[in-house]
Amino acid sequence: MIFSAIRVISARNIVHSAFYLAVTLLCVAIFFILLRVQYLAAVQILVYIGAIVVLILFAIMLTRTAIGQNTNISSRQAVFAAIVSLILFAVLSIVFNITRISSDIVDVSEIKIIPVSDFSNILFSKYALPFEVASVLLLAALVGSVVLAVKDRQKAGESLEEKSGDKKNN
Amino acid sequence: MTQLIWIIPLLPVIGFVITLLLGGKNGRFISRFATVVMGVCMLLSFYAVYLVFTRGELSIEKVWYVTGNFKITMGLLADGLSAMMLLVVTVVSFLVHLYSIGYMQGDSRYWLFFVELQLFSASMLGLVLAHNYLQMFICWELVGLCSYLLIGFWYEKKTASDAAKKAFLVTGVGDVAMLIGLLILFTVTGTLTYTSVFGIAEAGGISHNVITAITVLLFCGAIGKSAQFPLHVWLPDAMEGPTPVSALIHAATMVAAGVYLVGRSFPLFSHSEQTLMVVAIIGIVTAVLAASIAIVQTDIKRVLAYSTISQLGYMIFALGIGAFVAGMFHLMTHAFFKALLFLGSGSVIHAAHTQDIREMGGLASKMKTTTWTFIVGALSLSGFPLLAGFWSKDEILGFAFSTGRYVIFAVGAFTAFLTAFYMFRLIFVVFFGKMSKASEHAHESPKVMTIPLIILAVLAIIAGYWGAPFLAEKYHIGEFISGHTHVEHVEFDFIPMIISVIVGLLGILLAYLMYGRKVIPTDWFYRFVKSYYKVLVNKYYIDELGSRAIVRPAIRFANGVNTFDKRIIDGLVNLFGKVTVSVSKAVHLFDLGVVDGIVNWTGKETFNSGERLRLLQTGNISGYAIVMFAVLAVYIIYLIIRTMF
Amino acid sequence: MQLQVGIDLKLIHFLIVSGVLFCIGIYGVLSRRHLVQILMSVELILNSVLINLIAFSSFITPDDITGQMFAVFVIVVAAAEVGVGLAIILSVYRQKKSVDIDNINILKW
Repeated sequence: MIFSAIRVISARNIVHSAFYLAVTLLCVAIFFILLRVQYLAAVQILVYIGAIVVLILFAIMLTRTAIGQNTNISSRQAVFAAIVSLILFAVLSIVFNITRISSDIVDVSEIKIIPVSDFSNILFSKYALPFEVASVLLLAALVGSVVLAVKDRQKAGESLEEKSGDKKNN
Repeated sequence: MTQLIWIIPLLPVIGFVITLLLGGKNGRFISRFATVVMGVCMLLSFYAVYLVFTRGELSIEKVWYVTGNFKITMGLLADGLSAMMLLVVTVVSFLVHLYSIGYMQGDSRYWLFFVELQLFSASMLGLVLAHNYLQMFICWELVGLCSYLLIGFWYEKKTASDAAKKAFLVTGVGDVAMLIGLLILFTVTGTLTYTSVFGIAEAGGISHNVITAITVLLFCGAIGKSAQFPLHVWLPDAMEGPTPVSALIHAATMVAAGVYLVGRSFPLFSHSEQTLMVVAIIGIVTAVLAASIAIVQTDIKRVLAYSTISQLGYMIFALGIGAFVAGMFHLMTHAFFKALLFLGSGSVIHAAHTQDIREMGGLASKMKTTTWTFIVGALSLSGFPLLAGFWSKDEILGFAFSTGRYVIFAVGAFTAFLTAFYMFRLIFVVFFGKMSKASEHAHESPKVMTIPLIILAVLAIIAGYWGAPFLAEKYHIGEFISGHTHVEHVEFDFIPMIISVIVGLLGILLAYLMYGRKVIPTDWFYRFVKSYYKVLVNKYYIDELGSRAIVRPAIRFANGVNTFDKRIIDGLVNLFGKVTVSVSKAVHLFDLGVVDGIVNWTGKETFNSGERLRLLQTGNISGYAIVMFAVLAVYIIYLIIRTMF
Repeated sequence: MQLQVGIDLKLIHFLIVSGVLFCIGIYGVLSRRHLVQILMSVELILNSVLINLIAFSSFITPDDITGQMFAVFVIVVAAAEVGVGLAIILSVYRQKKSVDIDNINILKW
């Protein structure tokens, strides 16, 4: 997975980079399975890979002047970036070392599998509010993206009015 | 009455205040009022004299100021001596007031004259009635002040104001010495009251040298006030003042204050032969010196001024040789006839509008009263037999002769000759002889002026009998004024009397011959003593000497101090000012440069740093992102470090 | 269902993996020029977070599914964010005709 992650960022061709991203996400899903959260793994594959990566691919296609061109040259500040990330990694490792995780309590094999029905029960009872908020958020994101991405605002507005006008006239 | 003796000096004080407050428009009233005040004063003093005569001295004393052991008492003493002075002062003052009503008529400051006369009278009475040296000194200075004011009465005339200043300064020299003497006296005896001081001296409480020093210093004050050589120079110039002033102050009273001082201090002086000798010498020198100058003077008042100096010399030297009674007696008689002569000369000046005798002549026919009273005065002064001056002057000379001081007697006799000569020279020139142009218009003075003349003339005749040798002892003036002091009594001797009479008559004769009949031409005398004459005319160049030796160096010194003051002290002040200005300029520069600089710099720096900070906005998004994550890393490190330690 | 794992898996392994993934993601964000690639790197970061979450949830509190819940919502948010981000990228592309991050510097001084 690490390999594929590295390839995400270092691939010359951006489409390749997107595919590597898909691979990485798949690995993450496998991790989830390892950790006995199968449901989440399924969700991950569906949503992440199915929707997001596809979206990214669309975006790549829409923003390229010509397919096949290599446009991902690493920035001039690569060095700095490298330094920063390495430092962060060092920090993180220190943190992990220091924090005493009171043993690895559980052996993987003993992780109980939580049935999906429990999952959904809790989702709609205890976490109902976050659920609703999330749906509102999605709605906002949807509307926002449409507004941002529409080609010609005026034309869109006019066409909307036309349509509504037509309906009225009709 | 004993307790009310202070009314006598108080009356003129009240008069002074009232006349001062009444001011300029009430001249007529003021003059009469002042005269009346003096008249009352005079009557009271008659009464006082009577009381002293019958009951002995009157004195009152009051404590004035006390600090610890130091006590000043103020008081009045009226013993025989001061009673006699009281008489003289009030009589002459009253008569002068009366005379001035007429004489000062028409003057722009008529009223002020009387104000100042009142002040003077008050001071003089305070002087003679004082019972201690301090009070006397205070009045001494006050009298000097009045003299200054009155000499300079017509201060628009430069000669008058100069003369006033000269009088004040010259007498001031004597006053300083006198003050030092008083201070020594006080330090040694701890008191200034007459009776106490004399008591201590009598008991031998003061060493001989100290007494000599004190008495010499006191005598210096007398030299100044009584115009003795060498401080006599102010008196002739004092004639610039109005004639009544000359009569009152410079003939009868103030100048007599010096003599009074010596007389009062006689118990002290008699303890020191050296002082007495100094006194006598100065007295006789003054007498003959002044008389010799008088014979060549052409201003009527100046003749009289030098005569006054000369007669004062007589009084002084009388005291010097121990003739206490004679000296004081002469003071009294002199006061009367000299005042008479001055007022008479005032009458003449008033009529002839000139003071130069060369412009006068033949006034006798026009001014009978004046002429005859004047002649009486002159005769009295010359010691004509049976007139007042005869008794007093004669007593002095007699004393000198009888005590074996033949040299002094001879000089004194010679002076008497000169005295007679210059007086009658004056008379013959002014009243007799050819009528001059000025005399044409002359007329007799009003009654208010002639009445005092007559009264004084009478006094000039009869006053002498108080001291006549044939008078019974208890009525004799000697007995009256001696009081506590021990005086020598001398036997009456005919020889000195005859000599002095002859000498006087000789003087009159010579004057008659030279000026009356013009038998001996005046030139003869002048050729005879040509150079000496020049010296006499120039008053022995004493004034010039004084001017060169004292006045000019003093002026140069004053100029030098002035320059010093201007250059250095003003220079310092200016420098200080300049320094302040330059310091303030520097501060201004500092303010401008530094303070403003700081303010401007802050502004510019803000702008510049803004410019520089602006560069941070690269617009480079990844740059921003890097910074963000770098800070995050630092923060996490910080947290770790915090939890670690 | 039970899986047999060969190596004994410990929590720390998962943490290290997530850490590495995280740093790779950061490196990508900071040094890539193509906007879309930056977005992809952001996705990597988010995924590392997911791993972390689930690992902790599984190892520390196996009975509690709070961690999983949280993970679900993270996915939701990631999706929304990608959508909006791509929309922005499209409009930027329309304006600048380029997706090079160095060209987006209007806010420069």
